[in-house]
Amino acid sequence: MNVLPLFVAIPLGAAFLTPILSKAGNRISAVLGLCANGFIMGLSIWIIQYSKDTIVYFAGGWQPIAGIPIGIAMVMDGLTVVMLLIINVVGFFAMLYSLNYMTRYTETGKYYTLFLLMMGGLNGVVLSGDLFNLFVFLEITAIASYSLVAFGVEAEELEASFKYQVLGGTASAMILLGIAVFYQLTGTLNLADASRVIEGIGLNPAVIFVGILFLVGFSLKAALMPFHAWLPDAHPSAPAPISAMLSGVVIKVLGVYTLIRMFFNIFGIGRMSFVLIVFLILGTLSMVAGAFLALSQKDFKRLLAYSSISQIGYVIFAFGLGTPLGFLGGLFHLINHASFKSLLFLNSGAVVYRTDNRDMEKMGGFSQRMPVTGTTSLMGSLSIGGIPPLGGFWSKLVIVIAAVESHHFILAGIAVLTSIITLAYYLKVQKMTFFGKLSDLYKGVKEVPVLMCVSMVTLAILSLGLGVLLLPQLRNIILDPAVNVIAGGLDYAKMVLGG
Amino acid sequence: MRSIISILLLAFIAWGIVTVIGEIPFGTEKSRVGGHYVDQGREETGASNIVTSVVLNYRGFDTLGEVTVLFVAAIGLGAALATRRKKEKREIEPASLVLYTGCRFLFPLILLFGGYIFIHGHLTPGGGFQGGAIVASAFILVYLGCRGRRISETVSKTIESLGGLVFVVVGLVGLAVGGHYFLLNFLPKGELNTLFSAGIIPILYIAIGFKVGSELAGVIDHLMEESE
Repeated sequence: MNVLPLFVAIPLGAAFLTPILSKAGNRISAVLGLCANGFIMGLSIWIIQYSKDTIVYFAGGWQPIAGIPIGIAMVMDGLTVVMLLIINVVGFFAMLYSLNYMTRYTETGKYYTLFLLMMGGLNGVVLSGDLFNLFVFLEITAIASYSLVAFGVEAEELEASFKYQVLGGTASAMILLGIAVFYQLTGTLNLADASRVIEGIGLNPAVIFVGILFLVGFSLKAALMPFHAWLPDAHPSAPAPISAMLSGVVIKVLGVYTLIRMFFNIFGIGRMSFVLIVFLILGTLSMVAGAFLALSQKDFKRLLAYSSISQIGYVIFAFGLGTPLGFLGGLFHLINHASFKSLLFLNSGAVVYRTDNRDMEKMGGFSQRMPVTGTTSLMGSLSIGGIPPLGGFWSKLVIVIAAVESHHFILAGIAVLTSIITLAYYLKVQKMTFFGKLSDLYKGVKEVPVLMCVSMVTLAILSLGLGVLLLPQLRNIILDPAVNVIAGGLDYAKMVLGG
Repeated sequence: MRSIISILLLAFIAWGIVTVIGEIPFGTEKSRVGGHYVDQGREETGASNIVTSVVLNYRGFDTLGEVTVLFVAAIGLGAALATRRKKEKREIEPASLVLYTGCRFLFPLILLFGGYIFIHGHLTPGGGFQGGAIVASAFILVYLGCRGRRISETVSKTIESLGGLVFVVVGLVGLAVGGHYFLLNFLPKGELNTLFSAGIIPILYIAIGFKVGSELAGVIDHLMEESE
């Protein structure tokens, strides 16, 4: 599988090219960025056919010696395939949207460079089979997103970015300390090899210490409830396509994916069963508190940010159930959330693009003037609110069934109630923004340019139709292989290194 | 309240580190891979500096990432400071004759030394990152001594981007030829301990040296403009 390094090399190479080309005009960097993203999106769709296999690729051609990997391994299994799809599909449409949207800003050449670097980092995180390598790509993504949050260079944006940097830096420091201890304990950085070594060591206090460091560090990156303080500032402050990437993709890759990979595949959830309880507690807390906080927001993008905390809560809650059905629900909701939350952020961007306003109290009646934005945001809102037969309904249904099946009746009830609150605040968004009376101030508002519409319509179709992933034919090639990787737990080491 | 939490957190981390040190056997070989690097490294990579062989060959993919982290930081800084530019030029007090002459004298020597460090990265201690930092220090000296002189942003950006591009392209050539491995050391390894040895390692280190040098110089340039 020689294509695996291309997921990282293409965006990084394009990113290094853009500063040179942007001398000839920012338009060229935009087109180059779009081509690079389009290419890796094509690749990520093409590799679905291999989703049932575990493909290991050693960078630099360094094959393992006596079963011990000496170089850096890239690993692609079912879970990676799903994550690659999310990253590259959302990334492509966010980039397409940027072509029109970013005309509001200056220095757009730097924007495309940072965007491409972020894409390379995200792909690197999910493809890496090496703990330190994963950290390096995690830092690329994190630093690129700090600067993208600050891209508008207004006081509010710089402040949000600073807050994000401080908390993100704390998380990275904890993860790095964890990696240092982990390396001392196991003597290897390869995840699969380390997993075997830990199996030999057993559960000693040092392993638990590493586990706690990773749990806190990655939860900070995922913005789970007690660690969420940065998200409601950072996500709304970024340009809309970046908000869509941050909420739709970045917190899932840097937070959720890494938590799942580390605790289910490397440490082994059977050995660290306290993590499941922590997932259930943090998940429920984020789900409920995020929803209540979202309910009282007046700022369009801020509401969406709180809603992201709530929806990530659902995902972590589902994984905390620890059953294959829970994993299925969690993953499915992860995919759904990527489509409708990025769609809703793009919708909010469309409103900002035409009105320069995020305060919903001053809006109203935009559906008459912006039919595409209005309709797509209605689809996204209904899907996230769990209206059948849209995508969001099915994933929440699976999560609730999984909770009932594992006898968490009260938590299942809470999940259903939270879903109703979610619907309530999204209907509020619809009512305040897109329905009602158009104020005189915005009589002249028009629909946004065509590329922005194309992105929104495509994501809207996805969030409407993602329910089809539950059909056996599709489930068999996309969701099931990923669920098997998570449910397979420590088999990961065997799949990667053989034997 | 805040200080109690901080103390508790510190105590937890201190407990963790103490426990960990207790768990790690003392005096034994800890790394599962270190022995292989030391025994086989020279032969397999052709670099007589084993640290370099690990950094650029066994774990070259990490280094591509690290180079990128620095690039992201430099671009991000440029983006964050973008609109704060365009201030009117303040009158700059010139440096004394001794400082001015000293800087002009030292500048080429420091550049030469930095270049030596990164070109010989595969033979002697040092390498692209260290050499690049030395090169950048020459530019700090110019900023201090010959005030008012500026490096051209276009040139530094171009060198920086080309450095990164060389790394990726060399990696992709490795993918295209031979065993189809990204960052494969596809060039002949040459004779150990000579300048033209170790295949792609010197090429990568020279690219990194130029890149890090111009990047750090660019960062200094951005921050100096800000402080004026």
